[in-house]
Amino acid sequence: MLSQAERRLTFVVLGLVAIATLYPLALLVNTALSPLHGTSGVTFRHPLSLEAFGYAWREGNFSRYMLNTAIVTVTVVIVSAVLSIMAAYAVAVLKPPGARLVLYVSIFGFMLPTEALIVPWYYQLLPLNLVNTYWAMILPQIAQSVAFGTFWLQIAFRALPATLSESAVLDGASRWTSLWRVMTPNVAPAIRTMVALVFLWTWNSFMLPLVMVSNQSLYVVTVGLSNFQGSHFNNYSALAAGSILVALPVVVVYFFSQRSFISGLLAGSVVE
Amino acid sequence: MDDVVLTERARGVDRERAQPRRSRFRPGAARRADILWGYLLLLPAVAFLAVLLVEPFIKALQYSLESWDGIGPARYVGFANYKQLWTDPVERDSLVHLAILFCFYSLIPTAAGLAAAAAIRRGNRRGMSFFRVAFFLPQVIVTVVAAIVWTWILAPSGPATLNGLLHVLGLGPAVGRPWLGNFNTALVAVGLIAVWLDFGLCFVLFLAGIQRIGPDLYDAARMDGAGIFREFTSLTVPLLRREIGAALTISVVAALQSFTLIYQATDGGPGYATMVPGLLVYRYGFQLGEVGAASALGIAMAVIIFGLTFAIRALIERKAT
Repeated sequence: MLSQAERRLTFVVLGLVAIATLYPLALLVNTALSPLHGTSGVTFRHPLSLEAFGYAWREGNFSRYMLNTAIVTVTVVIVSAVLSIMAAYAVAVLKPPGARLVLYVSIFGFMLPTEALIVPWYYQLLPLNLVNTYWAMILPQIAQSVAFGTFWLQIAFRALPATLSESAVLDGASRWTSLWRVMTPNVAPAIRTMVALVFLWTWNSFMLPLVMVSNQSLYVVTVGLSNFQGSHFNNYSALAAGSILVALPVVVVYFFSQRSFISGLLAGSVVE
Repeated sequence: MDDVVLTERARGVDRERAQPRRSRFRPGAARRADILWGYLLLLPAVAFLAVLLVEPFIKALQYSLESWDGIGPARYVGFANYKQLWTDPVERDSLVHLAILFCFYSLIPTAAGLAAAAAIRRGNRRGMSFFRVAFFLPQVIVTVVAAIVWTWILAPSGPATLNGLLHVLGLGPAVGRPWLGNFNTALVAVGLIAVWLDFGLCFVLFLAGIQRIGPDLYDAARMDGAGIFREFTSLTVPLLRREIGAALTISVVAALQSFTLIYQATDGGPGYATMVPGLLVYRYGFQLGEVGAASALGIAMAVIIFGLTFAIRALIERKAT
């Protein structure tokens, strides 16, 4: 039987863990709301002010960094989703000879860490004059996301009844129309999960843009924030405000698609 | 096999339904259209996979056998760059640090997540959705942001720091220290951030698993007189092995990719106290002009990921049978 004491103890322990989990985030918000140059360190009590956000946005150049990250992320998400849907449909439904090999390569590619590929990527893109462009951040991440997306979406396509695609084709629809009109709407939840994860990964990516881009006007938010920390390490309120600008979009997407995030993170590890 | 079965099925369908309507749906024609469309739809994805994953991987293998500064001519050196993984003290230590970080990224959050999920199942469900959302939040915080705020918390002094808390508790002089700046504590301090990052992920996975199991088995176990500990080891852990495998795999991969956190929080320091393979790849590849050494480390990291992923899978499956 559960004693009252055990219940209380559980609740207290979990509550303490929750405090430890949320404290860094609360500290960040609290610091971001302090006046610029108002404090010599991170403190709890201070007058409230929003000026740090304006400073980060304008003087800190975060408006530019946000735009760059948005360009990279939106491109990677859209292109990789479309290409993955097409490839996954081919692998799972049309099954041309050799499709299985594509599946194995995508699983392999999805498991390869960025660290193993970053050096050859750099020397691949350098002679093409793509280093220091958006493409250097976009193209490799499309490849990584397509590898994940093909693997992940083919599971969803495979789960659909075979008659669905056959009857669409028999009704005179081309395979192209059948894919987009009949099949894709039926795997919408899997696509949402993929989009949420690719969005998170691309927004959060750091090593690739750090290596590929040295031109400050092309910095994405992660590299911009890291750079800002180097030059403004004791401007705590501006640094915190910049951090919140960087983190907020992902947190918002998370709150609107919790289920997709969690099922996707689980799926990412269940490689068959 | 699959393809044969599919063709047979397609033929059957054709005979039954298509033939009266359209003669162009002869058995072979449908399959030929499948194949043609299949290749067309695969083409763009395959191009990306081939040019930006397979080719660079082969290139990395090639670089790893060379001594190259990135500009001049490359020289074949055999496995010298791999031998360096354990003969060079910095590289060897970075691998040791990685092993230690596996505990913080992977084992501790898994164990703590299991305990917390089991506890919340036994306790009341009040506030469960709050805990789920709150504990998971660090997973979606941009890593650079997490690193910045944790460097503040682990700073030597100040009211908002860990040392500030220890001071209030009267432990300041005895326990407090510049956690990230001290040779002995820096790696553990980074590990602490890793626990913060990964605990919620494990917790949420296990909580979902426990809900999948449902209360019946637990009720039965209690009827048989199983205590908390017995219930945990004979019921919760074996039934959650799929989730445990997932949590271990994800967190092991996260540990290998600790580059962002380390770069931002300590840059491998003090000295090389928190140096990890990912940061060495960056240093060798893009600052020191040792492309071969960087590539060998990158390949080693890939091998470790593949090895551990398959090991975890094997472990989970052996337990299943």
